[in-house]
Amino acid sequence: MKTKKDLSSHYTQSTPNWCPGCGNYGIWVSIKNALQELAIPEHKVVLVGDVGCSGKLSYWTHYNGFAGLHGRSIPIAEGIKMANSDLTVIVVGGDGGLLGEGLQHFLHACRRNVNIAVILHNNQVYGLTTGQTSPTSDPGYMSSTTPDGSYETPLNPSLLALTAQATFVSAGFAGNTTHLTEIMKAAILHPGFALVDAYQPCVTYNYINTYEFYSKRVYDVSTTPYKPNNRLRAMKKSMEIEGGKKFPIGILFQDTEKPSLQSQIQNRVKPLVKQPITSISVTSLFEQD
Amino acid sequence: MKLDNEFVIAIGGKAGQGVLSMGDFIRHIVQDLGLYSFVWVDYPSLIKGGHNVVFIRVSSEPVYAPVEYITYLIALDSESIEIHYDDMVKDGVLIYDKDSTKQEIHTKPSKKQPFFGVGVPFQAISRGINKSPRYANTAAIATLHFVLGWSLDGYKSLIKKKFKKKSQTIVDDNINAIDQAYQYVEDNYDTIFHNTLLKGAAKPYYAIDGSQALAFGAIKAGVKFTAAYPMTPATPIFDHLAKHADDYGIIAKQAEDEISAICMTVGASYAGARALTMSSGGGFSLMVEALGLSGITETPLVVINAMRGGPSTGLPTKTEQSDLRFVLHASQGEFPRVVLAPGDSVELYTMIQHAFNLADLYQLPVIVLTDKYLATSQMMFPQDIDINAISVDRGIVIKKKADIGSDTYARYLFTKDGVSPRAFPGTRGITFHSGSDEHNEYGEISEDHINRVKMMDKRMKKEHSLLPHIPKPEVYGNPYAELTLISWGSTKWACIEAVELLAKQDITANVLHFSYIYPFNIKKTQPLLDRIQKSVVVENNATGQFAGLLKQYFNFEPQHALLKYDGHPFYPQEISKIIHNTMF
Ligand SMILES: Cc1ncc(C[n+]2csc(CCOP(=O)(O)OP(=O)(O)O)c2C)c(N)n1
Ligand code: SF4
Repeated sequence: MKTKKDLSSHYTQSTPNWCPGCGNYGIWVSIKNALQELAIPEHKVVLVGDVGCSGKLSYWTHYNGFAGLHGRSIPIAEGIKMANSDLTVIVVGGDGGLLGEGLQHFLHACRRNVNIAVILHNNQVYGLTTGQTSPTSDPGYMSSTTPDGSYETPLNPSLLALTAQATFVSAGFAGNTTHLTEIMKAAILHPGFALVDAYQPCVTYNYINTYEFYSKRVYDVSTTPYKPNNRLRAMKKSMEIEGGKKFPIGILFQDTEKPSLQSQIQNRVKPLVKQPITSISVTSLFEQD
Repeated sequence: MKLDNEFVIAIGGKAGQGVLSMGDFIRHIVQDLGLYSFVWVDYPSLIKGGHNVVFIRVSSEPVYAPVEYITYLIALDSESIEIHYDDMVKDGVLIYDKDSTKQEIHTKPSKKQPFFGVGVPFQAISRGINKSPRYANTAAIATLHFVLGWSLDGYKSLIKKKFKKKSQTIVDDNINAIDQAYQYVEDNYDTIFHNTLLKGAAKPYYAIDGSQALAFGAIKAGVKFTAAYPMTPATPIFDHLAKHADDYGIIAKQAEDEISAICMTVGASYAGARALTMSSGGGFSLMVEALGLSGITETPLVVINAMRGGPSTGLPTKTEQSDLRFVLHASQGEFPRVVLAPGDSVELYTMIQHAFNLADLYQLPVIVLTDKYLATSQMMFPQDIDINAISVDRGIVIKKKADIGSDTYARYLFTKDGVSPRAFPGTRGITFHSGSDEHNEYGEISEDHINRVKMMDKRMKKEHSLLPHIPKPEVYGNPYAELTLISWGSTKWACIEAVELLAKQDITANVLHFSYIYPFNIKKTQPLLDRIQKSVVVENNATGQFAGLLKQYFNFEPQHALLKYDGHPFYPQEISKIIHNTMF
């Protein structure tokens, strides 16, 4: 792991309280490294946390943090970005919040192409609420709410994002922070909605999708002839995980041509937070009809 | 009924027949004649078919409330005649399409049919001009002019103004339809018709509806972001903002649902933009969790709830005041909030601005309650009102690091009034944490019990600190009257007019009206309640929600509660009649 300036929380002693060995640490390090390497000033970054073990990350850096509601971090982030496009806005959340409680926001943000990066801490469980089945849990996953094992087929986050017209779809692994840092940098720089599906071992509740499990199965697509420029091919690539044997990581798809929401709005509306509002005249509105 | 100095024009037809735009034309003409107007609408939750009606109350005196009678009815279909037959006043006039009307209508009033009938082949006239019924409505309005004895000049110039940009043919065809219809009535009917109000001397006014008043007020207040999901009757407010968004540098975003709408709004506000969301009760139900997010993160938020008949889908296009208790308590836990219920167009315009100021000054959610009736009615807005009277006050905002006065920025600093200096993300040299978890002064998660109590107290204190901004309820009429009508929100003017009607029956009454609902300014309000002799609360709901609040907060019990929940607003006549019959 790279260690740089300690970017755990400022002012007080508040530091992560994830379980020792939790995959969230790797994601935490990667985000901080990515932001530092991109040299984005601290005050210009907002980390928007979902509610879950993962979302607490927003409390534990030197950057601005806004911990939202379970499942609702994406619309909060969209609002922040629409109001001030100078900010780098990053969502951190779990598979439960982003694909269960708030799936609709996830899908609509993809097609809306708002310029935010969404880091999906994919641990295939509901961590904070003690390990219940999540939308990405494997069939047969046993938990307090599914004592007989889950009967449902898991969602495939990258495939979902691709069908919802996302313009940047990628995957990474919390156990490979060097690679994950690079993916995050690309996601942050991408001019539009960016998904990083980050495989995150939950050492407390998920005994199947462990570091070892992923270490054996992930491979970096950039080391293969694969080119992330075709949506159909990307869909096929993203479906490799469904066999449970191969997990492609890296950028699966990127389209920088499609205009982001900001680039479309910018032509019509000046950045919202920069507009003076003390002497607006509405006389013409009253006299209009 | 004040037939001598006022009358009511109603236009009824199927949805999609152009009833609303006819109403708009007629209101314009009325206004140009120097007369006062009050316009309200009734429609079902359908796009095509169904009965639509627009009412225009015309008067030489200012009027602000709906009435139950019709003097002149333009019936675009037979159903309109059926529905409104019994509302027609004696010697009123029914204007109808001669060829397509099923009922047999007589020209002269009789015992059976107490009103005049004027049948004109509107559709045939239109087809003769354009091979379509497109100008039938124009012909009907021309007929109304004949009936009222109004000159056609005003109408014609309005047509020119409105359609000139479209094409000269449309202007010519319309004028043609006007002339043909007028000629037809002149040839076939005597000038039997009475109308005392040919011209008036009304003080200039704007006729904007409640949705416009809210939208204009929000724009004036500097709203820069709004997100919503369509829901009647709140949608027109959003539409007005969207329409003017480019001119005023606003982002108006239709969200995927109300949860997203309110969360985007909280996000935009946290980032520093004045932000607004709106819905009706159903959408507001989905918003409640995020209301608490605004509460605990102390993010200013303005939410409009335009109420309709509930529960559930209820009566989508009818009015009700039944969400009061709901918005007062919506969302888990306890946090400070403000609830406002403006009573007319002017209050909608001014109080929404006040809502933005209060939200910013005290960093809390402000809920503005209105309803279908007020949001869709065109109430006169006097032009001599200073529309720039309220200035923007954003409260304490940290603009640069030096403003903090210490090394570290405590976003949730404990202060005397509970308000901590706010900063927006992006402020150079400052970063901070906010979140939905209970937190310490630095915004960091804290479950410490001592901090918890201090932080709760800090937040709740704001409900007290803001009281100087909450005016006392307004008294209309003799302050020491024998009877007080207590109104809140949109029932204001029906009550005020009812007092005038009661005076004619020698009952001295007044109105105590609440537009600022919560928090109650108990100190200023209690004396006004204490001096009441006899009282009746007037509310558009079934359970007397406001009456209950008076008991809870003031230990005040009105003698009567006049409750109406049939989907319609109160009529002054109805209020005075019930009071007269039951209380005196
Ligand atoms: C509206 C709402 N429902 C339920 C919860 C309880 N809850 C908190 S975290 C969580 C699930 C967390 O799982 P995930 O989003 O995958 O995040 P993780 O903890 O695994 O990082 C749930 C259900 C909540 N906070 N709010
Ligand atoms: S429960 Fe799982 S996800 Fe949550 S902190 Fe522990 S290891 Fe991490």
